[in-house]
Amino acid sequence: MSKLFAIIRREFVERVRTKAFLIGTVMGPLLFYAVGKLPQLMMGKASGAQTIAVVDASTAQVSHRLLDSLSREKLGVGEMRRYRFVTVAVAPDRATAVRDSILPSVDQRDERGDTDPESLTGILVVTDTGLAAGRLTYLGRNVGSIGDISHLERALRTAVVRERMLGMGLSSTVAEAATARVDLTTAKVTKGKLTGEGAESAFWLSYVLIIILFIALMPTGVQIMSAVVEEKSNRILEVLVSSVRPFDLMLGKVLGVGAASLLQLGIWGASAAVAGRFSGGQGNAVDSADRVNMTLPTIPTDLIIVTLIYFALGFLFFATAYAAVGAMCNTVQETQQVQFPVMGMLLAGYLGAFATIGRPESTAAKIMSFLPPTAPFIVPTRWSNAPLPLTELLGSIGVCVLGVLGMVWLAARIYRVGILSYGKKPSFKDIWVWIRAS
Amino acid sequence: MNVIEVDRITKRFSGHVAVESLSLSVPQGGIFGLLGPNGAGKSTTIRMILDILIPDEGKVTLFGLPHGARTLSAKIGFLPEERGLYPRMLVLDSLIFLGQMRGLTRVDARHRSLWWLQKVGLSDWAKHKVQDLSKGMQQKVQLVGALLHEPDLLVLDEPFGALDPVNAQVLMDIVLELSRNGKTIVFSTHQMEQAESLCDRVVIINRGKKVVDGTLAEIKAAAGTRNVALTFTRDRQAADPILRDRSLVSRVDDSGMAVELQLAPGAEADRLLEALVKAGCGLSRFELQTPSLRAIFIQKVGPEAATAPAREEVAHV
Repeated sequence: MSKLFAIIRREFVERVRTKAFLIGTVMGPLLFYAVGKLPQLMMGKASGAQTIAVVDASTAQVSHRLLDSLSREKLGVGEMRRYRFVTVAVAPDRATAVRDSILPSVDQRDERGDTDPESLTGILVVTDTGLAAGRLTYLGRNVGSIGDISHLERALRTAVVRERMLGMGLSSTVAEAATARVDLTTAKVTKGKLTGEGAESAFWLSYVLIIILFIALMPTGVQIMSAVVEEKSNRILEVLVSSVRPFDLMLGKVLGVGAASLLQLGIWGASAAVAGRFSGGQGNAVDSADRVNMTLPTIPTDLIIVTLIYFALGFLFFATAYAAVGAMCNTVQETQQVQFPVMGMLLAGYLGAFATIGRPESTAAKIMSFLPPTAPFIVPTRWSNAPLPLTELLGSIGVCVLGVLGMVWLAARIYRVGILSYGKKPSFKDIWVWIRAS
Repeated sequence: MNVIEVDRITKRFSGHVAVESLSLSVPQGGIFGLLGPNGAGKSTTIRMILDILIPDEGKVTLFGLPHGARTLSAKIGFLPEERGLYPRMLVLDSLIFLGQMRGLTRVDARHRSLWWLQKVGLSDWAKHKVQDLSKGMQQKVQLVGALLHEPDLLVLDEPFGALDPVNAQVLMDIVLELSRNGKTIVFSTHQMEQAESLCDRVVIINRGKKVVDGTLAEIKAAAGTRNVALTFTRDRQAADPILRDRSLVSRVDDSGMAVELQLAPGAEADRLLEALVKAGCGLSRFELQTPSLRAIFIQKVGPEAATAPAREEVAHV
């Protein structure tokens, strides 16, 4: 037992000490941040402070009332205003001419081609006909930003409705009350029961779970595989095998590398949690109402337990499979072909989980819950939607435990012979002989 | 009691027989040489003795006990042929790990490692990576790793193979010291000079079979004193017809003025001396010798040694 522990310790310490581990630990959170940011970027990068020229051709000069709430908006937590409006009052027939005369001032660039922050972001044209038809014109450099435009549109819609109400003789208090904002609070119901989650958060939770499981399983497996191949080129294996069973050697490697990976995941998780707290969900990007809900929802304890159980099962299954692949090969190049079946199983679980993300009760999802390679992905994803019946959960865990035992048995037999075999790559017939050997 | 008792072990690798019905006994104490040309089956035999490979037939008994080498690993030290360390690990960490593998506690292993590093003059390298060390230093570290736990039996596979004479001597001195302290040492080599200077007993194997077995003295005695060393002072060429006479001389190792030869079966040394004197050769030396281990090795293994089968190690079971 103390020898097994010494092997685990060595694998863990030697891995954690490497530069690759340090770089991976630092780069991981940066990558996550980038991935998390991506949807926002795709929504259009929100501009910072904007200067908008307002060509007000309405007879009642309503623009200052329309833009009242917008002009009070602050940028982020600072004191800086988000919008600066420069209003130009013009006669109705002059609107287009004035607009065109201002155009050259929009989006001026310096010699390096960067936008001059002092130049105009855009021009808003307010006319009586436009107000009546509910159709205002905005020309600007940021029209590609869905975030910017939908924000402006939403604010103007409310303001125009309010303006119309005032025009109908209603008091401003009434208009204010009538146009008050309405938010929809969502709650997910499964099989007649409240699950206590919002619809969006359930989706994101499943999505994030699948990715975390994949990131935790795949590179770790490949690391174990490469470590075995590397060790095969070294005769220290003979020293080790003459004092510990090959099985202990394999188990020590799997658990040691696994512990290092868990540490890395833990650091990533902790840094994500800390980063989430400090950013306070503020996000300078899009208005909170528009923002995609990317903040991690509170994760229920039962889901954490189920995920950890399946993570352990999946890890043991794939890590031992990868160890066996490493034992069969002499070079990293050789592993490319041999690892294909293992990689296939891993991808089946990964893609299967995505395919059934919205259909946790589908037949496909149920079948995959009972296959040892796919269940570690499918069951936690399904659980994030709704808890499985206890019999189904226990059945699935039972099948997975059997699968893990089978894989450990198989891998240990291949490993035992494979690690001491050099020379030509073994054929499937050779491997069959290894497995059957006593 | 014999420390190692090997009883008719056979090992086959996909088609070819690496070791065939080999038996040998290693008594307690002393240095035992397992000799043979490359590919003779030395490493395979060692692996079977150490439980790394399981023999297809036959069995190995260690210390007279019914356990394999793995169970008895605390009593056995093993130095594999080169590359027996993790290259990126620190020297001290490597040694501690190897000690733990043989049943020492971490603290104890650390203590002993530092003592040994001091003894072999590598204290300054304790915190360096193994790969930063020269080959000779690495081999010293490996040897220390093999004997940290003070094993009763030390098995060394080609321990001095890639070493320069100075480093080889340092390692040999350690091995000799252990031997004097009553430890049993088994080492394999194809370098007969080393074996001759170190071993009490040797087994020579060729193509998986044993061809010679016994103490060095026994083997030499059995080979007889059929060797003659000559040194000429003048008229060397006059000896040529005599040296070519197959009724007198069966084999010549000719170095010009110095010649070693083996007498033909039935030929007498005094007839050779008489013939040389008659031919008018000047001689400063005419000496009857026991053959060197190298000579015996070449005689027993013969030209076959040059055509050793290629290593094929897939499908070890």
